[in-house]
Amino acid sequence: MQADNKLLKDLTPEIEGTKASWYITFSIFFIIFVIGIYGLVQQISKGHIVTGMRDNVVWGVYIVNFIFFMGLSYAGAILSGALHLFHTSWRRPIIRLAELITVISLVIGPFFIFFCIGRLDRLYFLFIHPRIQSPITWDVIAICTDLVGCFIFLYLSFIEDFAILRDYKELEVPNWKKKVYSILSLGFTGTEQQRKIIASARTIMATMIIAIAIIVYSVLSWIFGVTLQPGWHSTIFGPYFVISAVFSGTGILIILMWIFRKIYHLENYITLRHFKNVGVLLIVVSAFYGYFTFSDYLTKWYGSVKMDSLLIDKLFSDYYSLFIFANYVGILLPIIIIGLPKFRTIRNITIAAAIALVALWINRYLIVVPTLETPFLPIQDSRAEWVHYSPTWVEWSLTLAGISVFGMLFMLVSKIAPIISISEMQEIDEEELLK
Amino acid sequence: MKVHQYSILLILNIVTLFTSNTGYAQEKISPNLKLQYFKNTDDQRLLKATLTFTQKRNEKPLPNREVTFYAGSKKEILAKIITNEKGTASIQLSNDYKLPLEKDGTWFFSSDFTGKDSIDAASSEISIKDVHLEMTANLVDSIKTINLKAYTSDNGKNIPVSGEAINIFAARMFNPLPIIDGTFDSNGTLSLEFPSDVPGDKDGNLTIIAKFDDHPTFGNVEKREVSQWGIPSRYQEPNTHRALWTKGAPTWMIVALTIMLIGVWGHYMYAIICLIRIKRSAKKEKNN
Repeated sequence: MQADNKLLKDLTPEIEGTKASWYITFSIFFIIFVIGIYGLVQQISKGHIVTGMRDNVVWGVYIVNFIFFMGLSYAGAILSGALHLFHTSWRRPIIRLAELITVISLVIGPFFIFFCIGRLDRLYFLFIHPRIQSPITWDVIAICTDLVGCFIFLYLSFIEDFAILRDYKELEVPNWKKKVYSILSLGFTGTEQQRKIIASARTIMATMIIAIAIIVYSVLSWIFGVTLQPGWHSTIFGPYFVISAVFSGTGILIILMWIFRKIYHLENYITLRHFKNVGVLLIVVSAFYGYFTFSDYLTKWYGSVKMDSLLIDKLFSDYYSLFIFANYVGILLPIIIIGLPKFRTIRNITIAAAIALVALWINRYLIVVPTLETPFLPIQDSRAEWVHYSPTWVEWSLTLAGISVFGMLFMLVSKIAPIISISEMQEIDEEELLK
Repeated sequence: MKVHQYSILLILNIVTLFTSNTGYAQEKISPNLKLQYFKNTDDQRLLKATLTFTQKRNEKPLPNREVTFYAGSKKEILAKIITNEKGTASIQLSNDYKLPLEKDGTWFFSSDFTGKDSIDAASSEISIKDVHLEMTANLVDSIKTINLKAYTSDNGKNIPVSGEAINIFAARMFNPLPIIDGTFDSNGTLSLEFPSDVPGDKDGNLTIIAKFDDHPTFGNVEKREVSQWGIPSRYQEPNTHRALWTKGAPTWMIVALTIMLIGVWGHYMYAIICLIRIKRSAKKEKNN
């Protein structure tokens, strides 16, 4: 397998050598991660008393992070699958990023469930005593299935690049790395038959991961939707969660495009055109997300069921600023910034994406916490100080640790594989091959 | 900086102003403090203060605030209690504690909240005449009859309560269900016929409550009596039970899940077979 020398040099900036800035950034992430581990040790040794969670709010920031990271993952799956299936010509520099978002977020997300569980020693009960009729079991099955599928899809996209790196004679990397490339490339040499096989497998897996992402995130939403809790008992929660996942995934994709473009000087590969195209996708998804949000709250408000009214009243009083930011600013501002051609620059699109991402995280917080503060049935012997939830440093440290692991894994991947797919960039039209 | 970047900053500033909630925080809250007296069926007495405020025509509790309870017009401090999430603070008055009696034979209670930061002070007071309530539930000529007697004490002398209305309830899970009411005669007695169509538990047990409800002179005073005057309730198993709580999952769920999993993992197997085929073709090519 041969590739253009300049292309190889440009797209593998960290594989051969490591810059000081890489070590500095990685060290910062690692320190944050270690602080998170210290927080976790505190939590395990002293119990959940060190968190802000009490009898009322038993799901706090951990579950918010779980939903958020899983959303990023499913969005990455839907985006990478769709970009692959539609054979859009501009997809090539960004499809790998979407694939990596899928797998990395999917690896991080479930850890937040572990942090939330009081008796981690009983975790294996989920596997030895599963109840098929429990949404939690659906979620465990769904996440495991999704994880395997996403790994296969990512690996399929990496094989050709591993083969290129294996055969790249001028690549100055240690022998073990060459060996890894040799093993992982499965002896791929780029024959027509091999290309056909890989193209067919990728098309099948692209279709599967889109379907699985939709099903799995719907299952996650049903954990909330099947309860009678105010704010959760909603028939549109499935599609609402899927749309909001794509919303956040598009946001993180734009941010990562901006970061990698900046630090690896990929200006010739990730251009304004890519930002505009993904930005337009963000506008469309914002509009849908806004529509679902409005529809959900309108029906609850108009129905005036006591607990729903209390919840909406709480959202517009105690959580006023967060609610307005998450559901008005976070939706309208990206639409305005990207919608007006005058504002459509790379930096502004990235700002819009960052706003969308933060707003979506807050939206998740507002779905989880205020509802638990307004339970459907009164909680016995509850104390006033248990009702209102406020995350502690332990929860924030683990949240930041999750983000730092996200960064670290991206950095580690960039050390062994190209962040932009070299094979995709060689403009090989798989569709033609399949024909 | 370019013009459009200034525009973005301007938008962000407007947004910050828009989302700012400081308007609420700076508003001075004028709370309401309501003091209530309760005497239960075992003659245990309780004082309850509820601290609330009105926001947008809705009454909201003020939790975590200190309320002080006093007894007598000389304001003898009984206790300082922090309000719970419902804005209420309660103290139980020990029967051993001799409450200061006013000249008119009443007990005077007051409570106050001293106010803090953006919340005004509030106070409330009540005068209570201690009333003794007796209730018996008997069958008189096969008629379910409730006999009530109420009197107050003045220097050891019983004075009948006359002309005062009282309500009879049946205890229910959340709030008592009003059944009948009546007015005491000049002897402080009252006989009421209890209806025979009130549902009880599965054995027909019914807790009957006679109660002065938020009475201006007596406060909240009640007597309870358990009788078998209710109609036994028979809980019928619904035809469609909650499938998620049963031992086994419903068949349709198992079938749907199995089909989905076989479909998905089947495709995974296909992808893995593709990988094996690539490996084999590479080997074949190498051998050739």
